[in-house]
Amino acid sequence: MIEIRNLAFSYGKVPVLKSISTDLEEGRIYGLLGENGVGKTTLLTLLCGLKKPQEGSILTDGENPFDRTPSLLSRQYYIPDEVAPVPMKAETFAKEKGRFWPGYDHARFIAIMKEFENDLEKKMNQMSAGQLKKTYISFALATGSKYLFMDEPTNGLDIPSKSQFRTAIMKYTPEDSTIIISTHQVRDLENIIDPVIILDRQDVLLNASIEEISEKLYFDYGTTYREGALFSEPLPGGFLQVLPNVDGEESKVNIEALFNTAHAHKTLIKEMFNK
Amino acid sequence: MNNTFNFKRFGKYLGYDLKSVWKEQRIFLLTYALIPVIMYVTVMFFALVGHGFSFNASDFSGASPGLASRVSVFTIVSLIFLMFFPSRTYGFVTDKAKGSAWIQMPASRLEKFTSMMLTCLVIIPAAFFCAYLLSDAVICLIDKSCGSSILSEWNSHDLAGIDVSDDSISFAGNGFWFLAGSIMQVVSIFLLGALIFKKNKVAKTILALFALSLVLSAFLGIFFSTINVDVMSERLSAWASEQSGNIKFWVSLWSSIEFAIVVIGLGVWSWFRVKNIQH
Repeated sequence: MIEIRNLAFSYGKVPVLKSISTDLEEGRIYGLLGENGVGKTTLLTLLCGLKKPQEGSILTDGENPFDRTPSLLSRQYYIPDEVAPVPMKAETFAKEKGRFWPGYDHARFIAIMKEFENDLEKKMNQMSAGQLKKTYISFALATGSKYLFMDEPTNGLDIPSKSQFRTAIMKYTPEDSTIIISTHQVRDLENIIDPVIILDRQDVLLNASIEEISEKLYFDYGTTYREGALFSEPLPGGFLQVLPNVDGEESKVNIEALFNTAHAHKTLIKEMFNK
Repeated sequence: MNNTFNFKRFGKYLGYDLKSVWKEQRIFLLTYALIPVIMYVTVMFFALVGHGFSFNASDFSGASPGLASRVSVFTIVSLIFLMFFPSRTYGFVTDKAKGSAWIQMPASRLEKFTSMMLTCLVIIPAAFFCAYLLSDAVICLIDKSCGSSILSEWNSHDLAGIDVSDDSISFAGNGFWFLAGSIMQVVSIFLLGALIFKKNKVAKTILALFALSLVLSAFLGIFFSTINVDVMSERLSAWASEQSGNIKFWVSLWSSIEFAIVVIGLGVWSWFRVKNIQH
């Protein structure tokens, strides 16, 4: 479990994260959403120990990630937005690096690479951005890490790869693992992320499970415009509207609409979900 | 799990580190190490061109590079190599993508640092000098007109000795430790530069050294202006004549202390840089 308490971070005099407190539980795939510059990447790099919190604390299973202990490093993996094109064949890279993760399974790496239709024998510095990203995703999933941090993993992936990515995430992650995916491409990951974390300027606007969201908000895909909708978007043949779920009706959560609703009604959403 | 230092994990990490260095830097290393061969082939090629592609052996007498020119080239090439290889080998640590991947490797900070120091201060310089001196020796073996090889000269003379009066001060191992200390000093400086600066690492390190030497000179200037130099120099001469029998010992001791201070000081700085680097 990851416990974040009063976390603050700034670049010079510009604060990015201010007094963030939240818990990230085991066995969940968190979707980390937010506008550009709200600190999604900063939060991910803090979580995996690439940055040191300036205030507050992060504890991953009781350990401070910035201590960068081998015991914690061998249970986590971070895929940054831009990955390094090393002059090595994908298979050699995985074989040599994988030895450092006790849960690494080379057969799993090969299986995921095949699922992604990626060439194991190709040198990584000769791969396209998408192929390189897929190699790193395959490696990350093959490490069997308990904590996976992914920054915009679907950026640069073609349409079939996005679906293969979803399948791989569901198929190859251990049940007790915590995955945090920062993304702008919510539609790519809509069906796998639960809970959703929406970061606002320096703060967590929402950290709620899909179940909790559907309990409190109603996503109407009807054809009639409804008064009092928090968010409304015309769709072919109707509307997508988000309303407070006063009647306890069930509906399918649309994460993009949720994000736009939260963005437009920050105080209301915060009050609604912090009750 | 021992999170500070585990020999088994360190061995595994060192092996991985060396493999990566070899894969990424072998062309660079071999190019520099084979400069004697490249130089010999180039000189002989131009000698051939100069003689209208005549293969008469007498036309080439004196064309092959002699010991003096080879020692000069060796000194320059070694210095350039020692300045550039730390940033080529570990400069990636400041790169966002590669540096992040390096930090995320499940080995302790101390293991990563020890591996880095061992690779930069000992293994790569040793591999370079061995390969360079060997390729020079091979050239001299093939073409006797080149004269003796640098390696054989090194063995028969004290290349790193320092002349004091008529006496030649020799350091342990025919100047080996003196040279090793100098190499470690240069590498430590440029390794720290590689870990601190994000771009133009070598040029910025040279500029920083230049700025530092200016500051030190200014401080020394101020220091010497406040003391009586004549008295100081008299005391120093008196001490030197008292210690004339031990002068070798004092020079050796002073250079060893200087090397140790510089290498350890820069090493400690590098350690804190490695320990606290953020991406």
